[in-house]
Amino acid sequence: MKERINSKVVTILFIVCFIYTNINAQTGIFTAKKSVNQKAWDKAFKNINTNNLYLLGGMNFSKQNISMGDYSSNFNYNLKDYNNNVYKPGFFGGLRLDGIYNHKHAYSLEMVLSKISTGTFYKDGGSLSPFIGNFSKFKADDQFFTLNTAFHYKKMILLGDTLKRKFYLVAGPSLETRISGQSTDNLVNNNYNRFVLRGDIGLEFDNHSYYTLFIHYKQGITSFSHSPIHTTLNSVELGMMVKVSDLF
Amino acid sequence: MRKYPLHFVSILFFIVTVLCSCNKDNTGAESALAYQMLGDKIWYLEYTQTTTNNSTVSKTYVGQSTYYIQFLNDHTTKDSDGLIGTYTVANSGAQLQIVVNAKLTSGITSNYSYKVLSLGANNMVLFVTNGNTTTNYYYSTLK
Repeated sequence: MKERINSKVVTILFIVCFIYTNINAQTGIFTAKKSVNQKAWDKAFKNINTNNLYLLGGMNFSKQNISMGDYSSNFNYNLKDYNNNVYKPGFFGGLRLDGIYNHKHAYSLEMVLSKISTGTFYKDGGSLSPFIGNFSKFKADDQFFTLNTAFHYKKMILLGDTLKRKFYLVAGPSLETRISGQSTDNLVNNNYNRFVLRGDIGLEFDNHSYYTLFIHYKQGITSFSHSPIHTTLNSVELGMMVKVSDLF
Repeated sequence: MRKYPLHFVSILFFIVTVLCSCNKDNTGAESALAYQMLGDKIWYLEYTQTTTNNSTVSKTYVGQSTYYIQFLNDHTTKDSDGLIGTYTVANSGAQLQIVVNAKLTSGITSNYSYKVLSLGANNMVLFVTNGNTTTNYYYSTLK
């Protein structure tokens, strides 16, 4: 209920902001407001320069670390069928905007769609004695489709000829929105969150501005599942990006 | 060029808003999952545990000729005692129950229900409470 109210508030705010800033300010009633908005907008973004839009794609390798706590359900899952402490491959693609703030601070904004397959590592299991084996009352989903939005702060590493090849260390937060639904197993108790926040750190190699290769590691900060289950989603991403203007 | 950040934020905001507005109804998911776990399998009784006033008596049927019950996806059931009928999974509060309405070929009816303690793809624990005696039935699909 609370979520629905929040979403409605957000919707209304969004629509108001959208209409106010984007749609139209041509009519007389909005003319005065437009100039105020435009000034505020210009002021806010006057220090943002050199925006380059990139197309990016690559592979990710992901794993969930799961602690079940005192989670309770009517179902059991034999962990010999589900417990695998491995990173499983998926893929992603999207857009990234790179810019420089105040002629000093390089940053990037990223919006990416990801297909994530995860290994599932259960840190604690339970017994269903006298049955032999290690059992869980929670079965983690291992397939997700997410929309990731990340902000990175970029720092150039002074290595070799930086006019030709540039290395960057990037770091920042990444907000992942689960677009896919949950399996029936998790729909019962609505176990998975819609959002998960992850920390993102990576190394990037820009070759003559022709293309950029990157490797990122994403560490879950918030749990992907509702309490008392704690699920940390970790990923390694390997990819490449090229300027949109070079392609089209 | 400068308006790229606004476009990014606007698109994200829109998508997130749409996603937040979509809440999937999960009514019936528990019963559906229970039917999925039970269906098209033969469940063999492996152990029973009867607890009366903190005293527990266990029996094992592993490796012996034992009671079994088959649940089919069309919600029919038959067991080793010759009872044939239908079953339903009822959800009362947080408690799942398997309700069986069956009869023998002689026409004698037998309607009974078991509460679910734990249900899995290959292991199931049912229980019945009668006064201060609780009996747990441990079933497995692996003979």
